[in-house]
Amino acid sequence: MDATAIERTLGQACSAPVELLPLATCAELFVDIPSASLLAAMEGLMREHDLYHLTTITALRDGDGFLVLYHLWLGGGLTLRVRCSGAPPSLPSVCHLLPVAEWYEREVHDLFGIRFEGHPNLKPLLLPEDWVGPPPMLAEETP
Amino acid sequence: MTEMTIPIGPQHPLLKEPLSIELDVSGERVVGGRVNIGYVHRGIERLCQQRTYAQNTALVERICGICSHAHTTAYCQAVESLMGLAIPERAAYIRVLMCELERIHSHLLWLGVLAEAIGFTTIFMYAWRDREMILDMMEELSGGRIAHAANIVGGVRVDISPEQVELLLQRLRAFDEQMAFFRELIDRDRSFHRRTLGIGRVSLDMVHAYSMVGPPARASGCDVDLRRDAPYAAYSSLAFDVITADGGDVWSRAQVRLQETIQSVRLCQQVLQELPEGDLATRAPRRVAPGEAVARVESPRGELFYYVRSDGSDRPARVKMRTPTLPMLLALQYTLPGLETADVAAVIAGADLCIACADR
Amino acid sequence: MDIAIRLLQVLVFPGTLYLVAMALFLNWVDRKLVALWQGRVGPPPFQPLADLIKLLAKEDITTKGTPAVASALLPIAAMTCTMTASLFVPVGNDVIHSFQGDLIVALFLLSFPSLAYFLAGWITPSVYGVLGGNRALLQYFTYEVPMLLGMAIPAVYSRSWSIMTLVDAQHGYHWHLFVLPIGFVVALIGLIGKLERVPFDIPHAKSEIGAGPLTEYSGRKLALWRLTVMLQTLVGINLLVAVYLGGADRIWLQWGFLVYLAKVVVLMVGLAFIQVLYARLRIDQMAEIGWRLLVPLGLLQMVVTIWIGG
Repeated sequence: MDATAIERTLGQACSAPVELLPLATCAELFVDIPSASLLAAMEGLMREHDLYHLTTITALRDGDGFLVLYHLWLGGGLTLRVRCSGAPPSLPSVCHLLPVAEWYEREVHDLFGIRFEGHPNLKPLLLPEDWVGPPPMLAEETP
Repeated sequence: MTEMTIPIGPQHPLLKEPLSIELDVSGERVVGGRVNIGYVHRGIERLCQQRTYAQNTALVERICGICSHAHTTAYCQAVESLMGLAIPERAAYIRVLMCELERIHSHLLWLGVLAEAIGFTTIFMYAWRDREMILDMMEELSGGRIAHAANIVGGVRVDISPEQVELLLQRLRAFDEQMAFFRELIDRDRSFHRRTLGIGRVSLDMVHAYSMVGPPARASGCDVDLRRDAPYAAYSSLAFDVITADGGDVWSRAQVRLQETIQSVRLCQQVLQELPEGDLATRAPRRVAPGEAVARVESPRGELFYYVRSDGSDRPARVKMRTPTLPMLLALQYTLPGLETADVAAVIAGADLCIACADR
Repeated sequence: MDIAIRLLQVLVFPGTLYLVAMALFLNWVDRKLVALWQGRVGPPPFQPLADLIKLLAKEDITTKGTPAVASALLPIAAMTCTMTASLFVPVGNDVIHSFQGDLIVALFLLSFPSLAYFLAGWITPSVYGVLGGNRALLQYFTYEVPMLLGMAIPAVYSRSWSIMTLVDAQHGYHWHLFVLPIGFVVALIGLIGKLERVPFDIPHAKSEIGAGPLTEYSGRKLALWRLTVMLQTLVGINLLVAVYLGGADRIWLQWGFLVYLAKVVVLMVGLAFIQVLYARLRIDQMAEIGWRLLVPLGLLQMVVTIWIGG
């Protein structure tokens, strides 16, 4: 996995330089991507670095908004970190690029309530169809 | 042509766990399918946030019965990365031993399930009988057949005495001979071939499109195995072959899994013969500095992914696990159309699904 | 007096009571052997009876949408036809009734249970039942022909359509098996297909369509169906033994019965062995074997039989 080349590709996609940060803890690279450039970044990686493996999409609450992590594998681990805010929070869907994202985005939508624009089938994946209540990962702690 | 929708699940004799597959069939051909999961969703990710790092080891072990050790290995690795802990070499070797024993028993379980699905009950009985040899070994080592609780954050809890090493080596030799029978079977038995050869072909393009992992991906020619490509635990010191095949059908998957079992026996023997002396675990702190870590482990079904994020307290802020069955299920949904109805059982059983893993 | 003896024959031996007891015994032999060959222990001898008794005690649910009368009558009709067919099949040295053409009547009667089985699935609203019924019907067509061919060949050879006469014609160990081996194989495999045993058990393939036609049945009706299948197995084997293996070989009294019993058990062992050896065949593979292999073989044997006369 050529970190410099990837930085260049992502910098082009985001129209601004990006920095790949190796984690202090393990041999994975993380990079922050603005949500508007997500699709361009994915396309760039697929075109120039033969990306096809999306491991999963993780969402977590960060202050008032969310961080959505796209974990990729390009011979080494690379994660695109996207900040998502707004009410309701939403991101463009990457299903048309990476078909496996269909289920990962459904799961994030289920558990966090984040919408994915352009997703073909945003029905609940893990929760029952008649689930009533806040997304489980956002619900308040019960004492 | 009679058009009907056959519900496979959530309760069905073919399935070991609740899963819903709705098959639209026209005559004897499948024209559409929908896979629904979520029947065993227990909210593990949220539960992890409410428990300490040490308690979570026990929790993630119970996500699944057949890959429980892989889950704890991945989780412990991620947390150890967060803490900056290096585990002792002896612990790394013992982790590999349990991982490989688990791989063997999982593959034999799968062979039995596939045989049952195609009506070959005899093979089901033989495979599970031989699987007992492995389960007995794991019970002797750790006290549990399925839930071993071998891993702790910082190392392992289980030790192996020199007498046990000898005993295990003997047992592995006996087991290896039994495996020769299954090898013959997959290679030669015509009845088995008729139900698995050429059935449910998955191309390499599909593997890439659905990010499939594990033996099904390798059976379609995708040469990725995390034990070799991103070694963890003690794998960088051990010699083994990565098995791939080209057919992409159920038979190729059987080949790959069976050969992997033989490689696993080899790995176990190496571990037992080269087991270094040393401590079993490094002491782990209770609180963890803020940070995030990723661990990828080659479980019996493929790449198991863990992401752990800490916020400085003694409980993780986020634990995310991606199990290998998830992409397999999605790929299954798109593989089903075009199959003959009678082959659906072989394809579903041949996919080695672990729904409890997928649902978490 | 005559009537009393007849009644005793029909109800006790070689009639109903004997048939049921023998069917249960053969079922146990089947299950025990398969278990032993698969490395298991297997059930104790009274297990088939215990299973039936347990089923009788269970709730008998008729699914909404299933015609109640039809679903109750079908297993009774199936069992009745099977037992009536056995009136003509010799048990040891005894046969309850024998006349020219009773082979045809017996085979005709034995085809009803298969039709009833298919109908039983069809009248339920369950997808598994209907699909199982379809497969049962297809398999019935495919395997009835070889079985009928196989059973008819010795009749053509020995120029008689009475089962008892066929048994007598094999007197002195001139079994039809030795003269017409292909016919025996065709009849045997046809029987396996008719009885829906592995490798031809696709209509009730547990891992695919629940229990096939009988998915929606429980309690007494299911017990009747199970018993019917066991009786069919017995009567089918009896017929094969009589027509190809010489029945009791005219050895008198209890020795003759024991000889006949030994042959029946040997055939059952053979069927169990085949069950252990093979995986279940797909429906098209099953049809292929039936039409492309068995029927031509059967016809070939028939032609040869007619040609060599007798």
